[in-house]
Amino acid sequence: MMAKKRIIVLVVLIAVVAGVTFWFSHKDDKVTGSAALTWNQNTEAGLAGYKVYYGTSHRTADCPPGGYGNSANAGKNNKYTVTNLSPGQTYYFSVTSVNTAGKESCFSPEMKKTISRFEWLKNIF
Amino acid sequence: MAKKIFFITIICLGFFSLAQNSWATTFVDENWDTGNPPAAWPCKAGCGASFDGWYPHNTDNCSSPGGPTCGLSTNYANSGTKSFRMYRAANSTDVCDLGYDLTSNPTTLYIRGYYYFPSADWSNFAPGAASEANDTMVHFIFTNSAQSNTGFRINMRDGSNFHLSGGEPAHYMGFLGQVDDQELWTDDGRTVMADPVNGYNILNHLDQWLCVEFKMQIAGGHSYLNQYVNGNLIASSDYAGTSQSNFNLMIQSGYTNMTSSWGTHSANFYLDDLKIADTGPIGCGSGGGGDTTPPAAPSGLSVG
Repeated sequence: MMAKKRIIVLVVLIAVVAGVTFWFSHKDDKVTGSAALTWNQNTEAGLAGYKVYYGTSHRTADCPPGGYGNSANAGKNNKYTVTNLSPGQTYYFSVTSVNTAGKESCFSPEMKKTISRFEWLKNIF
Repeated sequence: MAKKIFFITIICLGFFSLAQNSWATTFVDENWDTGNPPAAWPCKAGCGASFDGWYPHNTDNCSSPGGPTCGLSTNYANSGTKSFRMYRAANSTDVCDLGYDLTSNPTTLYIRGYYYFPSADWSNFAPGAASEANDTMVHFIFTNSAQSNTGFRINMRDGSNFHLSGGEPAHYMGFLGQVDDQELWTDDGRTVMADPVNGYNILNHLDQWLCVEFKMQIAGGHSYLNQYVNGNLIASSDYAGTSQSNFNLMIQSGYTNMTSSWGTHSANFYLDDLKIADTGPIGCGSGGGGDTTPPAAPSGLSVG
């Protein structure tokens, strides 16, 4: 009976130490989310690449800049991962094509994603 | 009777729409593809010549490192094969300002141009790098005068001193207006930004032709300035009080004094399909137009 009690105390102690250690090692982590975007390849001749636009509100026009607060060059890849997104926040995304003459298309249809509030769980598992 | 009124209405509408068009005046429609400029134009040794009405406004830069390199270029073109290249050499402040006289003295100007900022130069930009007399800006377009505080000025100004109510992005350069000595970035009361957080950051739009348009208007003792990029209204401002009554000169400037990390790099930008009119907005896709159509928008976007 005494041994069982000691084991329980030991397990609780280990759990507390592990918890405190984990907390100290991650307390300064800035937890952010990401969004992985994919789209169909544009097969037109003279395509230079794609631009990804995103922001926290719907776009205000069908063509750039359209009110998005952020953009990124995706190169010729038809996928791009947007990082450093705030948990709990909904983001709106669109993509454009740019050709070698510097001409940019209007936006693709808009998609959205709400970043999970539990992004921090990914640091554990 | 109703039929007659209908036809008279249609005829009147047609007349007035034609009349509206006949009142519009286009002062400049320049794509740089027609004709050949004089050998010294605009800022090569012995400069001073005019081409299509454009003349060097600062002839003191005709033998400096940047001035002689300014001119027509086939490096990039929004339409046809040529554009105007504004060039500043590394470790130099000299470029070649282009002047155009507006002899009919309009009171409203729409200035629409396609601008191309190559990343090879502009990615070297850092806050504080674009500076004139520690003012952290580069003059880009002038009207009426480049030497005194009379006229409109469009300045390229970096984020560190870019006065926007929503914040000061670290890696930022955008256009900001000024009329006489009234500066958009120090006078909140006169400013309405369409996007108060970010304005328009050209550093996010390098290596592509940007359709940029400015509406400048003098009316009732006020000066009004609107800015459009790719057809979207970006900024609108109202300056109470103006010393001018009309426009007599437009200068496409490259007047620069780059300091800090950027000064050791060259700086190019290209201008094509410049149109100046008294009626607008001119919009994108007219006045020289593009020689290629934009690509199709991507399809099948998904996010995970």
